[in-house]
Amino acid sequence: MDKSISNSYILIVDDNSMNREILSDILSSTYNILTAADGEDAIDILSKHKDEIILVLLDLVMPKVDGFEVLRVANKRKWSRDIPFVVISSDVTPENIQKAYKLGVQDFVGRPFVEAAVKEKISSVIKAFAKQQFLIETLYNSVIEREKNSSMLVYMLSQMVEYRNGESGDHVRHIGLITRILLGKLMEIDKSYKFTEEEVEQIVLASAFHDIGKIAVPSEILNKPGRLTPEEYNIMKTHTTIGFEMIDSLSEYQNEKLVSYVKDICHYHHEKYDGRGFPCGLVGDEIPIWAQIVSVADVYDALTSKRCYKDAYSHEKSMNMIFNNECGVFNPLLLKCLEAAGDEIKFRYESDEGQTQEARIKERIMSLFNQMAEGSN
Amino acid sequence: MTIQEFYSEIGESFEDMLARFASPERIAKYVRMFLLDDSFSQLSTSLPAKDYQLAFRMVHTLKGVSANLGFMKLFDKSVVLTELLRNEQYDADLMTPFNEIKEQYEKIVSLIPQLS
Repeated sequence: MDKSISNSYILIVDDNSMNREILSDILSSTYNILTAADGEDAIDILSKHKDEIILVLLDLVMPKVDGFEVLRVANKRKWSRDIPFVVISSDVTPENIQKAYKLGVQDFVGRPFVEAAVKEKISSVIKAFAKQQFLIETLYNSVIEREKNSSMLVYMLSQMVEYRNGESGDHVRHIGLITRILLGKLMEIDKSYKFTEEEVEQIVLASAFHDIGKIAVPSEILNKPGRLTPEEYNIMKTHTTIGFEMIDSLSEYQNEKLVSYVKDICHYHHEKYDGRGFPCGLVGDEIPIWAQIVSVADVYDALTSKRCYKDAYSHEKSMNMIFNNECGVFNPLLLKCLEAAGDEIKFRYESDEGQTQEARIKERIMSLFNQMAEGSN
Repeated sequence: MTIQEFYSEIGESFEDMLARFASPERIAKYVRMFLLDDSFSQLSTSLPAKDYQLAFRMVHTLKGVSANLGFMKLFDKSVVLTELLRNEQYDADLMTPFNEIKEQYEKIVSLIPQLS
């Protein structure tokens, strides 16, 4: 975005020296030029100078690393998000055109080169791309600002509950993290489950509220180090219904999906797949899948964390306990998801390094833009 | 020989080139660069050696270069061979189109040194 012209470059990638010469001649009065004679060279230059390069002119047919491979690498390393790629190949078969566009190419420069046309094309691609970048950036900033506020509020609210619980704020973050991963795996493993990105965000957000009913449970019970008496346990169990009723008594927003996710998750996150959970004793898929997911996440985090009544168990031990039904029976499909997600969860816990909210939002906006562009074609 | 005379000597349109590049000096520079391009010489060794992948890349390059320079006859002949090789029609008569390329190529290359 803030690439000033003085240190901005166009990278010309072509194995043919005459093409490089002609394009350099055409463009050097307006832009600084870098050249690469093959794909390998191009990737090398891009990794060193990606911040100064404002456009890449790319040949497709080249020895060793060809233009398609350069595009693949550029996508993988996210260069194509910041730099427009324009194809200069004369090999414009329908398959190649389609393949190149699929790999994120912005445009094609026709052969043989016509000086005025090349100049106009390059300048219009740079302008259009800058405009798009500007829109994404603007949208991104305003979305970030708003999402930041709402996630701060959620974090503060849920912290109130956790604080009384003597649990760290990590619990809420962890539940959100696992919920997101499990939802992803679920959609991967069983295609009949479909959630939009919006719904995923809402379910993850809603997961933070699962224990909100605990504010109505006396803290002597909440923080009792020993075993609860049957009476105490019954009171403890009410946090599910109370959480549900609290949100259900909101006079507004009852038709919002987020609110219904929160209500379900509060109400049903202690139900078990075999009907032996509480408060309703729902069986199988009578329990909404989002509540089942949060339930798995809740148990996993409870096992791997230190609590007033127990030490932290290792990832491996916790997984074993869950798979052996030592913490109640879960949906076999979700156990499959948990198994598939095991390494990722463990890694994220240990490194505490998730995809940041900012990066996720940017990704979402980019995909929205791409959808928009595809729709308008 | 001027660059204009060169084009009329090989039977190609200098006007088309001028419309594309607007500078006779630069056109002459590119034409001289044609002597440095080794795609023809690599084509003439790889094709008889049946190294068809290399031959394809070379004739493909030659096709692009000749289009750039407005050598349309050479371009047309290169298209024929490029497509045969692209479609892996290795049993087809490849030498006839190659010889036509060779004839055009040699004519052009012999005239370039006479450019003033």
